[in-house]
This record gives sequence, C-alpha cells and structure tokens, in this order.
Amino acid sequence: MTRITPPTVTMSTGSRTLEIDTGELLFPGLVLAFCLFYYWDTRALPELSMLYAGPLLYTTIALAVVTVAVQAVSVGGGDDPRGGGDGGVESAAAAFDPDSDPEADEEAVFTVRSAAVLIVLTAGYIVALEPIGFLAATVAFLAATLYLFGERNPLALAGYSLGFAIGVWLVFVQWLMIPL
Amino acid sequence: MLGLLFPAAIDGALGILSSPYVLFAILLGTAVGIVFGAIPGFSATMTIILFTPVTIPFEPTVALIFLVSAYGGAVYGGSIPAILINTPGAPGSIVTCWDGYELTKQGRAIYALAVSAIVSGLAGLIAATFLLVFAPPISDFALNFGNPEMFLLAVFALTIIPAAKGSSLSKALLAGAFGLLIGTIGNDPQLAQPRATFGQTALLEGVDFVVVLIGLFVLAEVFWLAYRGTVVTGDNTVQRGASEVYDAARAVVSRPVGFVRGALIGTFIGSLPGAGADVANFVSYNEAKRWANDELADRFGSGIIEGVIAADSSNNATQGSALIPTLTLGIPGSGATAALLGAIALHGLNPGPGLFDASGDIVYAMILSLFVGNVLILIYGLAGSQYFGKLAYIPIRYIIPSVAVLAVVGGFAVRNAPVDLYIVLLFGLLGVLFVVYDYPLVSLVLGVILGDIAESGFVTGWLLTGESATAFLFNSSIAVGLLALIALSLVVTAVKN
Repeated sequence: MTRITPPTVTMSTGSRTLEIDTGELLFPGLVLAFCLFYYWDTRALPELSMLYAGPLLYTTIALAVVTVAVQAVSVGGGDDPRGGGDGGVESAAAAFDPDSDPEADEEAVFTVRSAAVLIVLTAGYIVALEPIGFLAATVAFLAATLYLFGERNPLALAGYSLGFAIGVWLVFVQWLMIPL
Repeated sequence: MLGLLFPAAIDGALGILSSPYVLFAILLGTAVGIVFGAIPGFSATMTIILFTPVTIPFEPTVALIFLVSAYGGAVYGGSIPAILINTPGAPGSIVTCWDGYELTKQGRAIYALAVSAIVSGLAGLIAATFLLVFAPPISDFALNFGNPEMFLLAVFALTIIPAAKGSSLSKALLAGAFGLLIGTIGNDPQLAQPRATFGQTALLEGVDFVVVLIGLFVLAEVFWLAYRGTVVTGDNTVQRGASEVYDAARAVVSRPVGFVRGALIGTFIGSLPGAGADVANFVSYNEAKRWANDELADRFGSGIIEGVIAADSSNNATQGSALIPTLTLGIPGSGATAALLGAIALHGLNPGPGLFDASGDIVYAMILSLFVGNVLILIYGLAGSQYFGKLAYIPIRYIIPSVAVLAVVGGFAVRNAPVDLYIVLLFGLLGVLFVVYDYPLVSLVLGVILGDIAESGFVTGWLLTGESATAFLFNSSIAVGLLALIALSLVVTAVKN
C-alpha cells in the first residue's frame, strides 16, 4: 500500500536541535489562517457582535499556537549525529513508498494516489453539477470512480453508473423535490 | 400503568406509536439499519447521516423514529459480517470477530448469529429502560440551568471528550474551539451583523451542522476507504442447521451474569460523552475474561460463546444510554448521537435542556420506539442474519462512488444551497486530516453543534450578571459544580497525556 509521509524538518543551533513535524503543522496552520481571515472580516463590527466571538477567536489562536508547540516542535539535546549541519529536511518531502505487495491486485487500487484522485474527482463533480446538470455529472463521476477502483467491464460501468444516477434522481428530484 | 409513573407526555407518545405510519417507520428503519450496518465501512453514524435528508418531507415523529430505529439496527448489523467473514461492519463490532468468526470456522455461524441477535435485542431493551427511567429526572434538573450554566455546560462537554477518549488535550481543545468558531459564522444573534460569511448569502444563517457531519463522517470516510480498502478474510464454511437457534437461546439463558454484565457495561460507557460501542465492546470483553476462571479465560478468542455474548451485549446497550445526554442536555457524545441531534434540529425541534418540556410526546415516542426496535432486532436477527451477511460481499469499488454521490446530494438537500457542497468537501478533507493526525472528530462536531448554546449562554449571561466574571462563573451551585467538572476533566486528561 502506498504511504505518504510529510517531512520532519531538523534545524540545529550549537548543541541544540529543533525538529518540526510539518504534518502536525497542517491543522493548526489552517486554523490560524482561518482566524486571520475571521479577524480581518470582523474587525469593524460593533463590540456587542463580537462579545463572544472575539474572546473565542483569541482563545482559538492561543490553542493553535500551543498545539504547534506541543505537537509539532521538539527540542533535542544535540546528540543527533545528523544535527551538525545548518538544518535540512530529514525525510524526503511527501515521500511515496513503492507498493510493498505487488501481488495483492485487489489491494493495489487502494492507495494514497487513488484517494487523491477520488478527492479531485469529487471536487470536479461538485463544480460540474451546476453547469452540466445532475444526471450527466453523476453518471460521469460514477463511471470514472468505478474505473479508478478497478471496474473494467464496460457493461457494468455503464449499467451501474446510469442505474444508480437515475435511482438517486428519482428519489431526490422526483420524490423529495430537491432542485438538484 | 405507565401514565402513573411518568408525565402526561407518555400518553401522547403512546398515541404516536399506535399510528401505522410510525410502526412502519420502526419496521423499515430497523431493517434499513441492519442492512447498512452489515455493509463493511458503513457505520451507524453514516447510516443516520445519509438517511437524514431523505426524511425531510416526513412528519418529525415518523422521521425521527425511523432514524432512531435505523441507529439501533445499524449497531447490531455491524456484528453480522464480523461473525460471518471476520470483517466488522463498524468499529463497535471489532471484538465480535474474535470469537464469532472462530465459531463460523467451526461450522456454527447460525449459532453465533442467533446469540448475537438475542443478546443485542435484550441488551438494547435494558438500555432503553435506563433511558426511560433516568432521562426525565435529568431533563427536569436541566431546566434549572440558566445562561451562564448553559455556557459552562458547553465548555464541559468539550473538555470531557479528551478525558473519555484519551486524546491529546491541546488537539481536542483546538478542534472544539475551532468548531465553536465555525458555529459563529453568519449573522450574530445580537445585532445581525455578518461574521466571516465569505460573501455567501446562505452563510448568513450560519453553517448547518448536518452539512458538517456529512463531510466529516461520510465523505471523509469515503476518502479514507479509498486509501485503505477493506479486506474480507473470511470464507464460506458449511453451517449446521436451524436447531442452532434453540441452542443459542439456551446458551444465553444459561449465562445470565455474562449477558447482564455486558449490557450494564455498555449502558454505562454509552452514557459517557466520547465513548461509545467501540470502547464498550473492548471493556466488556476484557471484563468477561477477567471474571472467568483460568480454564475458560484461556479459551477466549478460540470460538467460545461467552466472547460473543460479552461483545454484543455491550455494543447494542450503548445506543439507549448514549441518548440520555443527547436528549436531556442536547449534548451528543458520539458521531451517531450527533447525527441524530442534527436530524432533531433539522425537523424543527429545539435540541437542548428544553426538549422534553417543549416536545415531550415526540421524545417519549422516540424512547418507547426503542423497545419495539430492539424486539425487531431480535426477530430480524434470528430470522435472517445469514442473509443480511451476504451484503458484506458488495465490492468496495461500488460502495465508494455510491456513498460519495449520496454525500454530495445529501449535503445539498439539507437546505438547497450550492455553497454547502463546498462545505461538505472541505470538511471531508478536514476529516481525513483529523484521522491521520489523531484529532477527535467528535470535538469539532460538538463545537459546531454547541455554538449557538454557548454564544447565547455567554452573551445573555454576561450582560445579566453585570459583566462581572465572578458573578458569571459563580452564578449558582450548578455553575460551581460545572466549573469543578471542567477542572476535573482537564486534570484527568493532563495526567493521561
């Protein structure tokens, strides 16, 4: 199974080494970016509107900083033999390991690459819904995803994609009156 | 008889339950739950979330009773593939595999499935009784909560999650605070000024938490499935005949202590926020092993029925008790109860301490429907679990795209807003990040759900107590008690960390 490992960055100053697990920075970083936008968007609002949201915003920022300090950053004593340089990336960025079990055909389709393609396909499906319509977008998404996960029989691809899309359309659009 | 013991709302609830539509909702909901629960990768949470948009056109009573029945059915359904093909339908059934599948290999799958159905149904009934008895006094007590207490209750709910789950304190609190912040998006309740709406009209009403749930618990799970797949390890072994059902009934009756212990452990653990069927079945199995004599303890995992009883009596008991904090305080302790709370809000009811007071008949009808639903689990399970088990062989490559489409369609159906599709996608990605880096999903969801209660409690309480922190925090003995509980949760988590 393919794995993805965000890098750990190691920096050294004198006898001290500083290790930053960049994967652990992702969520706190996203939160801080959102908080920055939130602050910018609400900075002109009256005090009463921000009576609760203001302190909450600062608390969230503080928690994000604490989480980075506790989870992502570790300080070593300088015993690491690799710590002699000016710093660098310890593991290759986003290192993709080769499939460890090439014989497992069934499993080989379930990889980080498949998951990434599925995310892109889902995003494309969402964007395409409005311009090309529910049925066309759904049939295309289903067929592409089935193909991605190993379905090669054209009859099964076409039959399931059409059948499922029409079934969902009948339930949600015709029965539940959802304007998809 | 019941009317003498319980409030008048019970009469209304019994009236609701006698409607043929409602009875049909229980019949159908339980069956739907078992079917979806039996599909590997489909948890009770996903089942409730995906069916919530479908229930929108129905009366709240029919819709909510359908969903609560599906919840119970799905928890039980997860055990079927665990026994038949060594693949748990949901995390709450992992332990069921250990002895259940060993029995299948010995040709005794029908025996194991029948025991699973009997203990699941009966344990569900015990937990439903606890819910019926304990929920009304707790909800009465909760009516004493003023504004500061509501705010402190929300904070307590967020601090107890890492204590119960053993997560990192800073990660859980950050996830919870971020959830609360997401909950403030939209017009503020005081002056109706837009906050962080990205210029989207739909976001003026805020981020709908059902949409967040779909992203975090359904789409994220689909992305995750695409990465790890599921591996069916079981094979088909010739199984013995229907006399096994009789043996199963005898096995349960002759082991009342094991069954009642499992049900009580499940009931207790289910009532704690953050801990559900996935924790209960491990604890129950370990306790059963600890209580057994040395000779029996050594045979756990080799295909003994005590193992199946311990696992399945505990996981189904969590449902009834998990509804206690959900229905009385508006605090869901798990993904499944959060999903149910989302459905309650979507159908126009006001989740929170006033729920019993305002909609007592519907809430009691939901509780009473659990009794019917658990009897149905027993009947469906005994009659057809080996047929439901065939669902476990549906290829995962068909499940992934189908569920992704249902997540997208469901996200849109909540309020017909295109922006919600992007929110589903965003939270789907965030859900993956949470799983990879071990952030508790429940903390984020709880933050979003409790956002309204926390804000109105804080703002109104702060203004009414003269903008004094002391007056706010020490408003009443309940507030002091909640402060003590918050401090205790933080200390327990810090020590565990």
